[in-house]
Amino acid sequence: MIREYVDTGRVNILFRHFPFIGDESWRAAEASECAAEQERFHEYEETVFVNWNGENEGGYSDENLRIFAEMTGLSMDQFDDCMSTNKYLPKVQADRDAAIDAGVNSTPTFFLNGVNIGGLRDYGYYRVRIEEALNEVGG
Amino acid sequence: MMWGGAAVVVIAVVIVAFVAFSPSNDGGTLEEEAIVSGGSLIGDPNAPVTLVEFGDFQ
Repeated sequence: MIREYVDTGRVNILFRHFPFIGDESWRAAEASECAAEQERFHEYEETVFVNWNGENEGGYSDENLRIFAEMTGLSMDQFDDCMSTNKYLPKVQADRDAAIDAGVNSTPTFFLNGVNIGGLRDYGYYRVRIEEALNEVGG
Repeated sequence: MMWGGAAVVVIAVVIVAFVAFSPSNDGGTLEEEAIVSGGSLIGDPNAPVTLVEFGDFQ
């Protein structure tokens, strides 16, 4: 999908936060924004997913989030400052509020140009919906 | 007294206008968010279609 639609400039993908499992979801979301600030969001996201070890079992403790940041090669002074000041908590909260307003109650949930197209499905489904959206905007 | 009454009327008109012109929320759509490059965006910021993924890291 990325090769077919993103690399050709027809679709972009924006990740927004809907933390709902527990405190660690919030801290992980904040940490990913601290990585985004250093333009390493996706590298950080990958490191986190690879090292996931179960829901709320200490996998995303602040200590581990910091280790993931080191593994991703982030500037640690900047990361520590970002996390200790809760710099992106308002952003995560705003994402979550927008999700709730839009009726999101599970993850992942996808929106195409603002329209809810549901959760995880096979590629054929996304393709159809993306083609519809492209037709609507004349792309 | 008269000015106080006028002020109340003005405030009421502003509130009614605000409510009337607020976008309705049908629960199924998402407010447009300013697309910024970098961060959590993949691809061309000017692409005609945006796929938003709401996710949780866990």
